[in-house]
Amino acid sequence: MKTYLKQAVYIVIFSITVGSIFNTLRPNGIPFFTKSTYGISNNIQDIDFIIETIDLEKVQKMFYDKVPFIDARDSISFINSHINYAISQYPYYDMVDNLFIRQGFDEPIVVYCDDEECGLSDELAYQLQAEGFSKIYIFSGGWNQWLLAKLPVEK
Amino acid sequence: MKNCLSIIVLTARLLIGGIFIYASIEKIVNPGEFAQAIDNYRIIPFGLENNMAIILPWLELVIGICLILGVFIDGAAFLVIIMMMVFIIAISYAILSGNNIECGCGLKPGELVGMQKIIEDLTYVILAWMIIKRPNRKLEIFPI
Repeated sequence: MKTYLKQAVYIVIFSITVGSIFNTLRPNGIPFFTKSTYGISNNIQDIDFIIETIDLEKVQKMFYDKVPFIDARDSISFINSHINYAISQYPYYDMVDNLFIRQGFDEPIVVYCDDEECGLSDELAYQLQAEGFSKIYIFSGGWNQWLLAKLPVEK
Repeated sequence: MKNCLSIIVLTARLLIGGIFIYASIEKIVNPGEFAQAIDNYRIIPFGLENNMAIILPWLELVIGICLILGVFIDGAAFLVIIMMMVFIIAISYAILSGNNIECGCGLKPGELVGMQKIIEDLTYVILAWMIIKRPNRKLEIFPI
């Protein structure tokens, strides 16, 4: 075997070993082959999982009921401006942790992106459902409709 | 000319080594976040992104240390080329799919994929190639 290949193999084996040992020993290590296991509930068959699309009227009510809003858009759009009190989906695992600590799996969550076309909120909704969150509402009009309705935003 | 090339190679080693070490730290500290960044590319089969998020940062760290200390330089530079080619393919795929995502490079927070990242990675490929083809083996602890 050529020298550089041999050396590369040594480096890769060393990195795999150290990385795996470090991840196993650290308190906040992540699972090796699966995503977060927060969503695996022991009595999963007893839970009603909902992903529902809602309109502006219902979303406004949820906003004033202090239901958490998750912004599915990219970080830059979120930093520029977002629905008041909304949280960004990034960093994803921090968001999931915070959401779980704040209200557990079975309280409602609203997700939104730009508008009906963008698809990011649908994607996030299914991801959150896979994590174990059971009541997810997609605000179909999204950020654009919120802005048009002149509802509270945060910069 | 040979001296000049040696200086360029040494600078390239320190530069790539430094960048790799710096980029690896944030990813080692927050593996979950890095796994999400990998997942955003939508090219890794379900489940394997965690595995990559655990190993890739350590690979970057070890490569960086090797390049700076002068240990296994040929292997480290070869791995830089392989990794950069993989990153270029992933970034190109994201751009072509219209996926305007964070690159997860670990250098600047919120850095998005784009042509600039591809050019940056190509530069590393050229520098790594120059390291492999270096004229002499000065300042190497373990020059095999």
